[in-house]
Amino acid sequence: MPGEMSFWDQITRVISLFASQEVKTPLSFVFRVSLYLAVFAALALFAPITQPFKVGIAVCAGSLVFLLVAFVAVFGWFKPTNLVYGEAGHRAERRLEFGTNRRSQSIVEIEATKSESNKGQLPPPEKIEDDV
Amino acid sequence: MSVLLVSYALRNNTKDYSPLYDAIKNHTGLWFHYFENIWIIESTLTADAFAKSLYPFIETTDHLLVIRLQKEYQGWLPKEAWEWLNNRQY
Repeated sequence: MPGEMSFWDQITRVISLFASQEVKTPLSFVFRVSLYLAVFAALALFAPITQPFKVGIAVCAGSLVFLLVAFVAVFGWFKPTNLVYGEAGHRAERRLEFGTNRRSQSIVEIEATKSESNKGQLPPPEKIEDDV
Repeated sequence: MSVLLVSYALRNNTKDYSPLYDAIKNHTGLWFHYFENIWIIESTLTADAFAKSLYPFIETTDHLLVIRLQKEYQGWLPKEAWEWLNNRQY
């Protein structure tokens, strides 16, 4: 059936979640850590360890996730932009301004603006007489 | 006052040249930037003095050129750009 994922595609998709992709924002870091904590807790449930140890791991993982959620909630309330501030945001902020101090424009806007010759600065062209 | 054209070739891809751009823009606050590597500013400094003031922000492998402009120019630019240039003290 078109569009349906094969079993192998599903496997690679799950594996790609754990692949080492670059974390570029604090929020993506939190998601990554939360995922690892959840996987760690799930693995601990099936590990050949004692029941109290399993419970301890689950409590620790749950507490860490709770702390992360609380941390993100605080930032989300006071400074939400900090959560998604990364390299792209930094570059966008430091992007060079074009135009003049009167009005800055994006390079796209300047390129779309119709240009013309300078009509106001130069005096009318003088008639140049050839030397005889 | 004089009007200076500042042009550069910045070759270090890993260096943050923001201090250079800020130094040019904030020198007198009167700036014109319609080309990628060219700025025009109004300044009380000579071309020599202004160029030397920018040396701390570039590297020895970069290029920098500062030229004092005269009131004779022509080209193909948006109207706002011409208005800015025509209102400067050359």
